[in-house]
Amino acid sequence: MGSRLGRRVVHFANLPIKLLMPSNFNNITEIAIKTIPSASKIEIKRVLESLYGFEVDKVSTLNMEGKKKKRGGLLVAKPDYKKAYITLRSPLSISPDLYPIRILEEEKQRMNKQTKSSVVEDGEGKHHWLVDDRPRVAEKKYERFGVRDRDRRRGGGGGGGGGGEVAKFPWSSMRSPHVTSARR
Amino acid sequence: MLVSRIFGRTLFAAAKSETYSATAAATSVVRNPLQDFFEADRSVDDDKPVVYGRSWKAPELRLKSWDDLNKLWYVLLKEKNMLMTQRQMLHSQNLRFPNPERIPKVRKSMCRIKQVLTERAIEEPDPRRSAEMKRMTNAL
Repeated sequence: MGSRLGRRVVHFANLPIKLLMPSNFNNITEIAIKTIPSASKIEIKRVLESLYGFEVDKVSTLNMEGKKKKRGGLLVAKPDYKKAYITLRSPLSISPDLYPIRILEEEKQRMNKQTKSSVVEDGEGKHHWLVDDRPRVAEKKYERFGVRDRDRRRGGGGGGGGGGEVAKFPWSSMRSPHVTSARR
Repeated sequence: MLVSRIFGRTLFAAAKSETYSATAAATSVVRNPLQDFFEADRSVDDDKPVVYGRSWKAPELRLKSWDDLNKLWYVLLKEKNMLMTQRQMLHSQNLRFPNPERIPKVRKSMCRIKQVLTERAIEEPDPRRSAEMKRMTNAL
């Protein structure tokens, strides 16, 4: 009867697709979009291919809940959405001169600059506690001593490095705690 | 499907539909489909207020053929997606989304398209009616 509908032609597709900001602007191979949770992967692929002309390689999706906030006794919830990561067959690029992109970039730059703390210790930059990349002063001299004197070298190098530069703060010569762990 | 850039905004002009179907042809370079999510000729800074049209009205839509309405539907759908993308991007950086009343205008125009088509489908004698109405409420 009505399922003579092998008719898989959809005449009025109604899929809201919101593109999320791509990470970089040249060589985009993956884009992320937000849709309604009842959209299927195949549907998304078909709509993007036919309506927009993307060359879709793969679509992977996940359902996300909207953020919920409780204000007083009331629960305020944003709608749930589906995120889809779409792999393109050939990389695309987009110019940042289209409307909102430039403004968003500038906004992001400003936010990044503000969150950088104004208190900067001597010799601090972005350091990870596993990577020891502090400037070594006169390292060659100590290689002769071998492994035994490793902690002494570290102590000497730390003190020498701190004293060699112009000390910004009166506490610059103090060693930060993560150096002393080498002694054990 | 090639959508002419003239319909980037939901403008109504009487002659537009004719020119639309005519220019849908091959004046397009290979267009980056990502551009369809962003607004056409809109400069970065706030030079002048954006001019946008009003929504389509039902009597105007009743004059159009099924194909025209089909194409218009997809134009409006792309416009709505573009506006929603813009709104989402601006809100994610806590900026203000200017002119948010454009989205309901597009949405209601799409609603009126479906309404006009349903009206036409009801007028049909029997076997056509159910098939046509089913095709329309087919979406998703």
